[in-house]
Amino acid sequence: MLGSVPTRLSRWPVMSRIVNIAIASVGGQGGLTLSRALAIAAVLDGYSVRTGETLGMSQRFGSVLSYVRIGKRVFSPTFSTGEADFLLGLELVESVRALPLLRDGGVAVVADTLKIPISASLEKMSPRVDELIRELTRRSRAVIVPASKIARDAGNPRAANMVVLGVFQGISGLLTETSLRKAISEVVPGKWLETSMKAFDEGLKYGVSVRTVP
Amino acid sequence: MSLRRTIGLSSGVALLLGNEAIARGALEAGIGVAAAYPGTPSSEIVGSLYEVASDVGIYVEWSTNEKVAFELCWAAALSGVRALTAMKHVGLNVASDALMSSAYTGVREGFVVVSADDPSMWSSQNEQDNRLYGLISYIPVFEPENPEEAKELTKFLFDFSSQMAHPVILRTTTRLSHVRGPVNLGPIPKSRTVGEFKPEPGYALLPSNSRVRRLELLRKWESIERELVKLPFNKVYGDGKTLIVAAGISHAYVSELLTKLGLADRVRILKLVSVYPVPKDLLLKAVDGVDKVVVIEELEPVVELQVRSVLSASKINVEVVGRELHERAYEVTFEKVESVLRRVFNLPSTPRKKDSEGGRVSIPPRPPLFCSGCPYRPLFFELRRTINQARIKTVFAGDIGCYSLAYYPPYRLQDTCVEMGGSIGLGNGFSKVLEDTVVVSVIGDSTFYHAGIPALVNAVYNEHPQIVMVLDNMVTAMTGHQPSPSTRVDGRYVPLENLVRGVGVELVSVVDPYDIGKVREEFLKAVEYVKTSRKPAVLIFRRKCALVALDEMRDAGELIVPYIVDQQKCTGCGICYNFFACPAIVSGDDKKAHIDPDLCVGCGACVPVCPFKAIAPSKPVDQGRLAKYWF
Repeated sequence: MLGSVPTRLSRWPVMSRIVNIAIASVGGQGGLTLSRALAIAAVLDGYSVRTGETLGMSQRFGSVLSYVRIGKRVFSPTFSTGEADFLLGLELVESVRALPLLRDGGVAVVADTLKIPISASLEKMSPRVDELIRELTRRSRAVIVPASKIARDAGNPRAANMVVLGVFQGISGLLTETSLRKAISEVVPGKWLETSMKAFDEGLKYGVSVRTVP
Repeated sequence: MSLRRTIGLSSGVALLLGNEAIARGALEAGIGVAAAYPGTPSSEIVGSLYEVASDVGIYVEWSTNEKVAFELCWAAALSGVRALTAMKHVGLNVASDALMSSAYTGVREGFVVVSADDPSMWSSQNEQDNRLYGLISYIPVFEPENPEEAKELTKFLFDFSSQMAHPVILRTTTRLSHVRGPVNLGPIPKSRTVGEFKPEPGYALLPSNSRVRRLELLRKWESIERELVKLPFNKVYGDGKTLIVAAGISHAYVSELLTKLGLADRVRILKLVSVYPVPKDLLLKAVDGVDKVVVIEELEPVVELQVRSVLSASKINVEVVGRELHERAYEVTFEKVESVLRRVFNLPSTPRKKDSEGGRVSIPPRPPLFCSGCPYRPLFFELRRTINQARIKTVFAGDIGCYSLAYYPPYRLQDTCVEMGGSIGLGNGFSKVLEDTVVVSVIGDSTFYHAGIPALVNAVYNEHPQIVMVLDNMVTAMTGHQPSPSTRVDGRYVPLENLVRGVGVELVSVVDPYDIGKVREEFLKAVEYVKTSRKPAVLIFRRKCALVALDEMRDAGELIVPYIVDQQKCTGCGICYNFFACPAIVSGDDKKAHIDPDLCVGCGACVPVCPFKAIAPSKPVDQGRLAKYWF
């Protein structure tokens, strides 16, 4: 199931101001790798960049929220509620949790993966996939991506983060593909590089395709 | 990009974490020695130096605690070798005894003490503003605002510390330590790692020498204050009737908000990097001609109080506002600074987002969990079950480490968690004043070596009947797998059981926490022992951190075989997903258990948990052969 597609997003007006990106994930999904890849690509493209996150307990299946800010001159590592232009989500619950960060008209690119928090299954209050997608679609311009499936088909089930990166680039055209590829090769270990790059490429195709849907 | 990838470079731009930038600055300053005990958010500073130590030819170690690390670096700096130690804010409490005396001895070469504070307590037990250590110790405190400045400042501070023959504190916060930003690289000189010790009376702080040194320290402090007026990192810029004084990360927020709120041509800014002491002459210059001073800083009003004191002493009557503008607790955010500036300059408040009323789906919290395969899960699962079934009244004195997560349901086995080593320490007291209660302290291997040993010696000597559980996963896991003295390095380690027996503990057992039958048996035995003998018992639960064991398995090319649930045998009792609570085991709509093959690490710890023997590997696996990775 696809959310409403952001048809009016043509090419991003290249960095006339700072672009704010929030990345929501569960520890272990590769949200931090995604934020590093974006930041390195931005530096390669000649922008100023800051990424902010709280590490520490985030490895252990907790909520992880990263901020990435790209522009000509960036000072602050984070931004306020309602100021993200993009929300990149690797998991549905965490994406809905991070929705208040997104500005009105902001775009959410979210993997259709659901990881029920243990607390929710103990309390019997697990939200369902369709509810979460409806919520994302109602409150943002959302693109729901079958990222795990695309990643598995690309030969690397752990590369859903690279799929989402590809979709984001396909939709936004924010950075150059050359820089993104170079950045991916910086952050992904050698043996996983080929399949991660494939996952990125497939995501890119997906992003371009949803962008051109009328 | 990591620090390691930049060490061959002497120019260009690298994207570095704030902590890596500090490490890079130390290398560019010709550091010879670095030591630390890990602690979030400081760990990557010495962590990245540790990785490059042999490449650049410097000495770097993970020490047993912050005080030990501090003293090692202090001795290097006394001997003319540049040194850096880094710790989280509460780590400086542990090292504070040494810190105070280091101001009296001074140093011969640069000594930078990094204190990484954690406003908002993202991974800490308290929120403490370590700029205040400057006041009590007579050691100047500096605070950069971004990775680039952090690198340049670190480099500068080594020269400054050498010049003043005095240690310095470089204070960071989570929002600097864990921020990535572009950093301009400079050359790395050949470092001096061999020193020379020239004795001075001021190094032996006997009262007769200390009295002399105290007066010298006060004189030195005046010269430090004079030098700081020239500090190139402090800046006065812009002009207007209002002066904004902003330090550290607060200045980053202010810089961006000046443009956003259109204030750039209406205010004067004093950007402070030397937050203690605030250079008087610079402040007086900045305040000349303004009618209002706004101080924006995080946590305690350290800069504000200095500003008020300087203005008052100089009889300058200008309105000063600061801490009352926003809540004192928690980190300063972009949002908070924006709302402060809007109020000060009478701008309309921030327009709210349309859907700010919130959502229709309730979003459950997601506290961190023990990883799949974590040896602590079967241990706490079985202890909870044993305690419930045997109806034992317990107090669990916990400690700092991954096991603190046992506070949460379904285990609920941490009644206290206060500070490093606090488990055995509180256990001593509980066991003296509580009747009919089994006192159990829970402490990890790394934390035990750090601060548990003196408390255990006390328990033995003064006969405190508590069960001390040392959870030995052979590494400092929570902060990112730095070695602890129980980490085997070329066969070298400090065996816990020898140490514990050596101080006189009579009941010592080593148990594999995956063997839940044995966990139960040994725990009940220890309960009987402490009740009857009125002395401490030590249970060592040993198995490697699953993340380490799995990394080693993957590196060795071992196949990870996920486990599956036999749906015929599964009755949907929920013991595995509700009470064992491995993230890989989920409940289906029919309440039967299912194992997520992407999350299952093939450890097999859940097998004995199932009363119906429904869990088995998806294909044959020889756990006996894999044991070498776990021990």
